[in-house]
Amino acid sequence: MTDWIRGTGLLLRIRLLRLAGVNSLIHGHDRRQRLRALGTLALCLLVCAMAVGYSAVYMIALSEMGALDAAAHVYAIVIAMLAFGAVGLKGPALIFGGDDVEMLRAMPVPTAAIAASRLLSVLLPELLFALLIAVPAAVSGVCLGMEPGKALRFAAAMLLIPALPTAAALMVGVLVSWVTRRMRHRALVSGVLSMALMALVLSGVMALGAASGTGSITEQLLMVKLGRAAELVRGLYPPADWAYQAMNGHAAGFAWLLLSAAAALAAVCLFVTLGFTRVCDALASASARSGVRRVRVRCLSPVLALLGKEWQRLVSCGVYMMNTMMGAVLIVLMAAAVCVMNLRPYVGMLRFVPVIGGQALALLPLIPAFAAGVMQPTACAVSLEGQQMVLLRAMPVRMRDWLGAKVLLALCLYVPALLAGGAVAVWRLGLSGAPAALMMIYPTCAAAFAAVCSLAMNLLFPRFDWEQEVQAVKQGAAVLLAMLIGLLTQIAVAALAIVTGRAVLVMGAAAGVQLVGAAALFALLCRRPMPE
Amino acid sequence: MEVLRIENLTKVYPGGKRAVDGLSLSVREGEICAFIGHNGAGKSTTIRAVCGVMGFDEGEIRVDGISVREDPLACKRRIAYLPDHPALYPFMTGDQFIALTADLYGVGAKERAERTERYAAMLGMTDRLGDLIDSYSHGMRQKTAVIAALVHQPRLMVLDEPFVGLDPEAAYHLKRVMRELCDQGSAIFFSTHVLEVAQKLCDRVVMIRGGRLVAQGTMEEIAGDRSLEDVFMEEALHD
Repeated sequence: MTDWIRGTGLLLRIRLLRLAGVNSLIHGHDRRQRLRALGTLALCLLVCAMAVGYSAVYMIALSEMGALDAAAHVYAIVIAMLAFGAVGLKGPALIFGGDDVEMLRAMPVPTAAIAASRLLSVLLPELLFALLIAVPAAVSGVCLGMEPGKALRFAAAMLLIPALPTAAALMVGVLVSWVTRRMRHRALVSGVLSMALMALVLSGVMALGAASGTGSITEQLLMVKLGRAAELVRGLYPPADWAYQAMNGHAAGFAWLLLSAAAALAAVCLFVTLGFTRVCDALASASARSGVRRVRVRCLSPVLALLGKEWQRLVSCGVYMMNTMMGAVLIVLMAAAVCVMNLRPYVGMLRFVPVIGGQALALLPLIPAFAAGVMQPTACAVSLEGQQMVLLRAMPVRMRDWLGAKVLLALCLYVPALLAGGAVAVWRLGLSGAPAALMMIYPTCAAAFAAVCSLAMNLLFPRFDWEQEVQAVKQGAAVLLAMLIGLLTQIAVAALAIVTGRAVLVMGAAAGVQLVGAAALFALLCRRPMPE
Repeated sequence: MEVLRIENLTKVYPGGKRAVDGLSLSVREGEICAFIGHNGAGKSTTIRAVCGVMGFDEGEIRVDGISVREDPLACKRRIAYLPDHPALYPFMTGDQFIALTADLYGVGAKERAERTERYAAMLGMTDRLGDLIDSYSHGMRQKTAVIAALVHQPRLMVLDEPFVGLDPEAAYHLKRVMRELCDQGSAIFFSTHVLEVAQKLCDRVVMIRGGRLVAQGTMEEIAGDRSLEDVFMEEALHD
């Protein structure tokens, strides 16, 4: 028993030190490593601060809508969804994976201790996050007139909510991991499913926004819909209703919540500690079916061969696909919305927008340009070479071909969506002449400029020492700077167009400048040596 | 004719560590040259400098008379580099990786197909080249890297610990292929810790310690009747 507790404590300490880059910050031996760890820690603290802020503010929003009583349902659903999503995505890998599993299993450490430490390293951050949401909400509630006892019961109930979704997510996650590991193109499958889900959510939000924008949803109707949503939640997710009952002082609700949380935790503890070895072995041994050899006899030029490689990398990495293709998906969704919606009320409303006034239609190309500007695949394309950078450096690869392939991939993803979206907008809005041409040309030029600028940022700030693709795709200075440049460029163009009152002229000139700028910058980048 | 010539190569890392210090050596056509030294002697640094993977501070490296500094692409077209841990693209199949290499080196369709099948059969990889590299063991990655290196028939093959992770049959075939390549006029420059292999296979030996040349010559000149291991240990104790 003592060995088990001691082992769990030691291993848990190691796993918690690894979280948020704390260990790298303490023991990192060079400045760059420490800065990176500091950045990771700062990002985590920022996320925590945002959670606290949003939680408190949302309580105020509910209070202003007169729906403070719905707080328990709303927060319960949000916490449950976040717990399910976070644990479902990462839980199985964090608990049953990792390079150190074999090493630890060969050591005189009880397997139950290894399992328990990993489980706790997943549960404790979930609990912390629930705390960061529940406590500010409770405090905010008290400030808005909620009874302190009720607020305390609310907070306590929220802390019990994550247990059930965490347990469910872990079981489902293990099953999904086991099944998908047998799929050859598992990253593509999961990427497509994730994007389909996001597209569905975005479509729903856009539809709701459109309906409210045209006046077909009033505040009262929204309240009725919220009420109906609450009824639906009661039927589908009983813990939300138990949380509501617990908040209002009903012991039965609290008892059910406590019981369900305890049962879920007990089930997951048993599953992880007793099944740890079996699950680790099952997940490790599962491998994709053998592939039929498809030998390509056609020779490709170096740039096309490298483009093929870039494409394969994109579809093999879910997080890369999601992060970079969402812009194109958004543009396609907007085009679809423009196709099906009645645009007359919107076109009419645009004339009354302050400052922009009659130039609104001419400024429309900025919308797809924004989407293409902030989600470029080239922002991390250099970093994603990772350890394979050595391979490329040893081969007779020209910078022009290497960089060209990356820019070509970005353009292949965005240009068709931009042209198709532009054509639909021209048709549905009845544009002609210069505004029609700008609707097609401007976003394309903006996308090209953003692709090359993002590439430049990644060449200046590459990161090759990542262990997981998410570190290259979502973290690092290059990605943030690329997004900022994409955003600021379009804001500058919009500001100039509005200030001068000559939107068509300014945007025409800006399209030309961005295209020429992209070509010039690309030529400059090709003269640099390959990063080491 | 010299395929590789290194003159006075010096590489200093940030912090002042002299990884290679005034190293000079050459490898001629048809030669298999072993590059031996203790851990941290500067072997990998030298190899990476030859292949253009890493820059260097002083000296000159020429491949077929072409300077690596002045025309790196022309040199790389003549070189095949096999690192000790081949970091191949895990999202590609073996066939796809070999096709990519062939495209980058400009190998024709007929030649690449013939060579791929030949070397795959020799190394026992015919049935596995259709699988994702992600599913390969270290040895299989090594074999795939060897096939990709040979598909463009390099003038100079540079290998860093090539026999690590290879099964005995694959190691036997790799040695055979290396000898074949040299008989066709290419040259091989490889580092190894397995001195018995070096003694049996190589025509020349270059021994370094602390980034500096310790001994260079034919196997007979360096080892004579003794084993290479004895010579190496003698040099190590001499320090």
